[in-house]
Amino acid sequence: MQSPMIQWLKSEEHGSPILRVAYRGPLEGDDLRLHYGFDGWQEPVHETKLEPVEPGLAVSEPLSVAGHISLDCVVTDGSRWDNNLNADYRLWIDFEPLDAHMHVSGRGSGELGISSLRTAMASAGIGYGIVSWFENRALDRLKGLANNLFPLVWVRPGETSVEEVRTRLTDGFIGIKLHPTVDDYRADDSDLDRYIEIAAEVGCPVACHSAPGEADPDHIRRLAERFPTVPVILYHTYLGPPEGRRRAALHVLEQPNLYLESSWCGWREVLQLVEETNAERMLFGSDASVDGPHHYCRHPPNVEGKETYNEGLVPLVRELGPEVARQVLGDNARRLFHLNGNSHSS
Amino acid sequence: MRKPSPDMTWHYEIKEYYDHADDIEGVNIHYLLTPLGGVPDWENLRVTRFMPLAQSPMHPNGETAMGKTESAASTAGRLRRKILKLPQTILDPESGMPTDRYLLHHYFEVFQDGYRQYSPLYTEELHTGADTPPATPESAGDSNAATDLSLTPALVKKEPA
Repeated sequence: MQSPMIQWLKSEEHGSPILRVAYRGPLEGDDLRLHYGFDGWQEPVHETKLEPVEPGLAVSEPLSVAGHISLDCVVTDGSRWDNNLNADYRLWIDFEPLDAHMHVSGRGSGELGISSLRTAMASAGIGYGIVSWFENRALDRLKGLANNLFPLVWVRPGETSVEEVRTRLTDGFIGIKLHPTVDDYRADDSDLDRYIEIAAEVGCPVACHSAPGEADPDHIRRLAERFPTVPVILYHTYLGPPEGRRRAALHVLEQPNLYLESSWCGWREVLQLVEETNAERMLFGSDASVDGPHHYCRHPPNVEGKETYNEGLVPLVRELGPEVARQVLGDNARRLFHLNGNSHSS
Repeated sequence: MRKPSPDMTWHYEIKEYYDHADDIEGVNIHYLLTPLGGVPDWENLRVTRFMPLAQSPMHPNGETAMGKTESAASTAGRLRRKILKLPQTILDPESGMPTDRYLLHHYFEVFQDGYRQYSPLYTEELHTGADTPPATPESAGDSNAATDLSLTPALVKKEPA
């Protein structure tokens, strides 16, 4: 398990919290400097020295972060730059988000592998993630490599054995993933019941791709109705026209075990969904890193073609306020998936 | 593999993909249909399906795929198979009438070592036989594509009545 390249180093002085930035990246030497800005590189941009503490670790002076939401940064040694493969680094102030919808194909070095996902997570300040992949065996290759990633069992009715699901759910997997669209079945197919019964038995959630057709929220709701004790999360809320998102929100209002996840929704849409439902029923997710290491900051923008995740998250967190933002960006997922603790990083 | 029932509503095409390496992490097939001579509109009409690894030729309920050999059994660990459920007819834009001749366009998306790769695009003409007299088992699912495997009756599991 690698330590993050950039993270907060927290301490207390006279009862007040002190925040420093710790750097464990590839650059070393006496001339390391942290080049940083707040809330999406808003002006003014600052620079401060990173003092070497031990081999491979340099630490900044205490930073004044009052009134800010996030810190974006890169590191230089005077001649070279570590800018996280042009994606920059981000740290959130006072909480550490969990992304409830990620994919990783294994150890591979490509854009869908673990290295790419790590780069993407560092660029967005995402500390933890819930991951799945078409073939569960790919996630087996991550064992020991990533204890901040929590896998879901991908269930393909008629293909996946009940025994595999049961075994995985007692061996580190934290829920079930359904994708009715690519796997070609309806989301309320009765063939799913024997798998969802296991979820009910072990007390884990089910995350289901939500989109027009076989994965329509109407079908997902019917599945949720059959298993009222199992939290069912509509991944993407609805990957389609706005009317489907409104319908998904209505289902969440009426069916207590349904939850929304926000990937590919613009930040204003997420805000509206929280207002239409309840902050406890919305989980932040991104589908990272299907767009590679620049998933959260890609240009041209990949969220509804008009914004990046990193651009949208700052105003979203500001509009939601600190407590609701912590719920949406991590605590709700931690609660549903029984990941202890909450998003407060202090 | 879940197998469809034979009926008059759908035309079934089997597509197979053989993993060329051990580190293949998944394969999707992307496809769409156009009238003869039509240009594919991938942005709006793409259908994506995962290609699961094929089960052993001896199916769990005892039915056996016709024509399978020992060599087929030995490659089953890397063989992926998907049955595409296609319409019997599509609308011919020129005549405004349904036609049972159309083009199937498809390509594979292959995930290997964290990378995403794409196969060439394949286009084939299908003739579902929907507007011909009742088909015999041998002629049902006939395809004009030489590389295609038609859905043989042995691979179609009949649903209980």
